Amino acid sequence: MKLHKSLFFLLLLAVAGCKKYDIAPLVKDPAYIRVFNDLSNDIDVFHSAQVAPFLTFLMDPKTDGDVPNDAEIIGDYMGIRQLYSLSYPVNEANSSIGTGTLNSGQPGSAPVINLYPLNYEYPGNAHVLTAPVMNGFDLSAWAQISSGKHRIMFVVRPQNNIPFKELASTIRSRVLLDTTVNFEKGEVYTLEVVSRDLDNGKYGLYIRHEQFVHQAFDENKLYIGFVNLSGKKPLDNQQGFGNYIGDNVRISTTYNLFNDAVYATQADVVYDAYPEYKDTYMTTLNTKMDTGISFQPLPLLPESAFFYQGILRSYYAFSNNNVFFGTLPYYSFNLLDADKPVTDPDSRLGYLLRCHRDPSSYNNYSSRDNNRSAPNLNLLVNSGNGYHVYSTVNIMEIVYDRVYTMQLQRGFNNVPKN
Amino acid sequence: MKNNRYFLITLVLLLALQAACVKKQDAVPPPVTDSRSLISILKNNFNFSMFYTALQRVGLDKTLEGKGPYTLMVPDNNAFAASGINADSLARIDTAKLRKLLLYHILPQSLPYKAMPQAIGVTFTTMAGLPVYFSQPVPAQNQTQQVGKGIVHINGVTVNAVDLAAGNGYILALSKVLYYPETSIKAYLETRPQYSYFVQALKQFGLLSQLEQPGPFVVMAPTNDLFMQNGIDETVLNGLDTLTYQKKLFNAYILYRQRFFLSDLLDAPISNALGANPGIITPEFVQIITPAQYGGTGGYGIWPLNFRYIQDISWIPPYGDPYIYAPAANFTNPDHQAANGIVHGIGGLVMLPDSARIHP
Repeated sequence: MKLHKSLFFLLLLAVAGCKKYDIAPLVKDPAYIRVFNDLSNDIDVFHSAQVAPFLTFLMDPKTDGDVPNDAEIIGDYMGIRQLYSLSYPVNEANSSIGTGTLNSGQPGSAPVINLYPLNYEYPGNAHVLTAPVMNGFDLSAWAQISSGKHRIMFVVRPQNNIPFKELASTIRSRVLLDTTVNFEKGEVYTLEVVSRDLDNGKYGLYIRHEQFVHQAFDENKLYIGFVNLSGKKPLDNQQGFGNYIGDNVRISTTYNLFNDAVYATQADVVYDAYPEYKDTYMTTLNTKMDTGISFQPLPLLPESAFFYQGILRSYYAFSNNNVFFGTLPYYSFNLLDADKPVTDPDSRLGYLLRCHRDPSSYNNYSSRDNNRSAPNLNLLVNSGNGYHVYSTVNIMEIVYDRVYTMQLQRGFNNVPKN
Repeated sequence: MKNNRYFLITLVLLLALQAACVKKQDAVPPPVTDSRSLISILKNNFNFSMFYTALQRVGLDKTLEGKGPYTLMVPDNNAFAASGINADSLARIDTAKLRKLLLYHILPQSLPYKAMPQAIGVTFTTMAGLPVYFSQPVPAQNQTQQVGKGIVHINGVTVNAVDLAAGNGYILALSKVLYYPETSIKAYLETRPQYSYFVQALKQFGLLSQLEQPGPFVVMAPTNDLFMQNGIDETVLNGLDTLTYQKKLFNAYILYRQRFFLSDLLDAPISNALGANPGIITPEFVQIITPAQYGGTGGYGIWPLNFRYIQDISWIPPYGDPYIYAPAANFTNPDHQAANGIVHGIGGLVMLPDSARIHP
């Protein structure tokens, strides 16, 4: 009997002594941040003085002299952000060995596999406390930090698998940005490293105090807001090389609906414009690095428009040089350099951004393949025993030659009424 | 019996709990480091015997026994062979010259791989007082090498092994000997008889003296043979002047404000994507450097400024080929370093006199 007692006592001890997970301490009065690396420039022999786009994000760094060696928050291995990001982490547990990005611009179209860690954002796949649902949006892609003043630092790091703290001090001393930011309690911030002048090596931190948590959005409308985060027009672009969307960007939109009748009879792929959404003027961005986004509503079509004879329509897709034109309704946006004279309003062509791709596979392709395309803004979700179409709120960020889509999605608890 | 059952259940529970417990990792043993001095590693490694013998001859072996730290860029015996140096010819090199050359292979600092920036042309000053240029593959869309995998080039020479640690520094094993840089590109060209026609041409066109300036420059140098093959002998050469020919005839061989080794074209590949910048745009022409990543050595050539129009031509000669002045030339004798830049020997003339004739 004594033996049993002592065993029970041991058992109790074991229960008390066990610790299965380290529970992170709660953050008092949190603010919420999300950090992106927007540096998308390629380094070549002629541009070897530019910063290679691979960074470490440090918040409240500890320094040895001027050289950071540790920090309260380290967002290491921060590569170029993905073209499409959601308001919750989509690759939460899945980016530890880099990407399997398909790059059809390369010979053999082999997937690009990186053998070193690569994060597309902070927090990304870091296991930290995140923001709650706010204003109906799942914001778990934003990390909790204590509100108040924080020193923010970005260091240019080599693309290898040596963790930041183990890098040599000469490497850690390559600080790109060092600034102090005040974060207010309960507010949502998006931080982006941007280049202000690539030719002269000027970089900066763009901080957007997100207002979408305070704004009212109609559930039966799509929303879209554009912002231009390009720096000074690079010399190459001034000489006519590469793509540069523009210093001043005039934006118009078309809502494209697949013409089933023409396709059935003549096998031609024709899209008709939804009435009043044929190259309709939306806005002109005359300033860069705007910290406020002005969202504009676009119609959300009734659910029947997304089905044909009871079957869900398809996304645009391509494989091995075959192009499959999608049949889903999609928005396209013509981003026109407003500084260039328009001679013929009908044929004017800017950067035509077609939002017709499948969001689930879009990020598997490189930016070269995804050139001038984005995921469909109408969100198709298998909920409530069937496909339903949900509206989204989208922030489109123009950076030199590409457009990043940040999509805010609502909860899928309720079946939409459209 | 009943007691026994309780006992068993308790035991099982206890075991289950123990298994579920978070276990701290055992202490990691510290990495084993080689505490021998650099010189004793060299001495005891047959592959480094030529370098060691040379160090002994000039008395640098005593220095390298010191506290340091030093980083030695050591060409192994195969590297000497690959650079055309054998034990005999090494023994015949003048001692003062050899000492300078060896000091150029020593950095007065500790330089492990993790301290080398992932960039192109990062300078480290050697004990000879002159810089060496480190390049590592940088991440880019056209990058075909594994980034961050220990690939390093010093002055265009591939490093076979990094992080050979010693008590007072590191050894980097080179695949070739680093050449001690000439004082200037002008001096380099003038002391090489195979470039005498090129030197004369540069002189006649008023382009030679600038190659003594700090620069940096990259000069694509054609040999006398290539002049002869294109019918330019001494008589014709003497007749080439700036009254009849545009300066671009020989300006085409000089790249201003550039310094790159051939390996840099691989470490930081030039984008060949449509619409990307194909080269260096000057007021006279576009200097095109063909990417080297698809197995070739890369090449150099000249396009006119209106190359876009030519590329769009598809039905009449020259069938959209923008090399209208002369075909592109290969790199045949690359990576000759001077204090103010680099000379790459090329295998062809990239601008023929008729293309640069001034029409009255």
